Amino acid sequence: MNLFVNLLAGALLAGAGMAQAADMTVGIEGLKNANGQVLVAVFDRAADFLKQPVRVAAVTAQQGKVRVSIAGLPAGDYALSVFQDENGNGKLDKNVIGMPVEPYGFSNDAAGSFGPPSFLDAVVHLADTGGSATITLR
Amino acid sequence: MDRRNFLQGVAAGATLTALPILARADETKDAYRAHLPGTPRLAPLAGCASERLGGVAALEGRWPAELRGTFYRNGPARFELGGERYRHWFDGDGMAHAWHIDGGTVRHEARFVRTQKYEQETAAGRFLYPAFDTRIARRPVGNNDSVNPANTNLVPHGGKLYALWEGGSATELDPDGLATRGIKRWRDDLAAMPFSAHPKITPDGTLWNFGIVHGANKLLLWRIDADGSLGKFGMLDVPQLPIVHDFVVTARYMVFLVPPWDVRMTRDSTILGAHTWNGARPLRVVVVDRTDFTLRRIVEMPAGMTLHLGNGWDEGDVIRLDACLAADDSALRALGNVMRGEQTQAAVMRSVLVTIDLARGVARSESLLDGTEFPRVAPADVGQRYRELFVTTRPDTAQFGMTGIARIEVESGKVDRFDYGADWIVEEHVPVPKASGRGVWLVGAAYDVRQRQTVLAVFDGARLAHGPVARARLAYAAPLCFHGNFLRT
Repeated sequence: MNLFVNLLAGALLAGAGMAQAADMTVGIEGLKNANGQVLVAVFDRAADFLKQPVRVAAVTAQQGKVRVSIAGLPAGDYALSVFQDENGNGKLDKNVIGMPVEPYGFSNDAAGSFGPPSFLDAVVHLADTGGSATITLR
Repeated sequence: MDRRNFLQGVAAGATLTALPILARADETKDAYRAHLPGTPRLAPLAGCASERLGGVAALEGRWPAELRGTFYRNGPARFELGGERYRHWFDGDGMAHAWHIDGGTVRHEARFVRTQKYEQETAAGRFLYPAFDTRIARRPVGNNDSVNPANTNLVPHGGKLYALWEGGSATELDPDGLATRGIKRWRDDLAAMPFSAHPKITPDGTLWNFGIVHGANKLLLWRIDADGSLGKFGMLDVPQLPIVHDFVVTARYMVFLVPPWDVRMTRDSTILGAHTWNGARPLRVVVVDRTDFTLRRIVEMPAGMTLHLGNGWDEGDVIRLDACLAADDSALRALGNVMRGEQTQAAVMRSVLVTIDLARGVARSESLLDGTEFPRVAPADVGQRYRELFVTTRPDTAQFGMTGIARIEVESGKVDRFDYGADWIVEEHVPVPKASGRGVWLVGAAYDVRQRQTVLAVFDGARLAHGPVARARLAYAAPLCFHGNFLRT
């Protein structure tokens, strides 16, 4: 159940093949503190998921929620990963068995089974009129 | 279309007349409520609606003047929220208890552990996260501490107090007042790592512990030094690792009994649901060298289920230990059935003395006493040859909970016991050394089913059959606890 997702108004313009630039607004909720920055990575292909983002963005953390806008994305399917870099070391800290120990999340609030979710679980569609996604940090 | 989606469709379709259909039916809660009038024994599994409890107990008999301190206990106490009821006793949120004993008075206080889970679910007014055997997936799980209920043991060590679960971090509490200080992080890269609820503290003050990473077949090993700092951490690969709840430490080894559960975790399974009993496989004794955390040997025994071990020692290539062992895992399943108000007969759990020959790679066990649980030894005996083992006892019936206590002389098998009676639920009883240095007091709580009150009792550890030396009775029922420890002052 993707309770927290409010995604991307229906694409009424069926612009076949027309990849127009659109803006994606990403709301990140559930911040327990204002430490560090929230980093967002945008992926457009399953093969690159969690490896090679097409776009990244950062916003200063604040308690509760933050918002970041990613402008000029071609309409299409994307999966997003976010994390709060509380200690400012530029990476998502994990423990010795690879479990994340800083707050993180994925588009659709997708959950994996003993690991990150798949690209398909996290995929959201960006219409060429733009859209928004909400991700809850866990 | 399943029923849930159908109801959502009705709601979205949106006339107010559809609303009564949305009233939530919870089968576990309804069944528990229906059975309760006929089974007052299960009343303490209703859970605790208040954030805190407290009161001064009425004394019966003369409490030993020299027995002063705090008896810390922990157990699950929130089972229902937003109309839903958990499906297993082990699912509930932890409540920390402290019995303060001083100057002839006994005062009880209890307070929920403010875990991340407890705070978020309280704010939401309903359960959000999966529990040991209840599948709830309203919010994604970040790591093991997202679902940590801190509900199994309360352990004072190195001036600190820890509420322990087994699948995640220790939660540090204020030893005075039981306020939650937060998750304990022994080292940054060890955050959220499983830290079992059954650490063993050897007489030198060192705390030994372990953790299991389900699905990864990792056995984690911890040594916390007497000053409370991390002494050593290690990780071993052990194939087919299921739930391992307890262990013993000896002078040279850490010893684990691994029951033959096949584990298959899926996205939809609970922790317990992922475990399938396989009596065709052996019980494995996993022996780890405690100095360097290397695997010494794995020895096989006939299939058997165990949660709790008392103590052990080593002599040359031989290890001896006691465990509460049953033929299968029906006792663990029965503790789910009680949440629906059903008492079911389970395989008898018996205290056995296990002898493991490391050189020959064989193990044998001999029976000490049938119908036992919650084995404990005196603090000075931990890891060393011991003469006396203290357990709780029960008759071989379907009735929920323990009804008596016993002292077992490990060498002779001689038993000294006291039966509270069928209308009691007897909790773990803990040996506390007498100030004289000779002998122990045995201290434990029990629920009086008829009076609906909790009673703390103290026995002379050498004469259990004589009955309690003194009792301290609360005017109310405190939630049942699993484990705890006495801190003398």
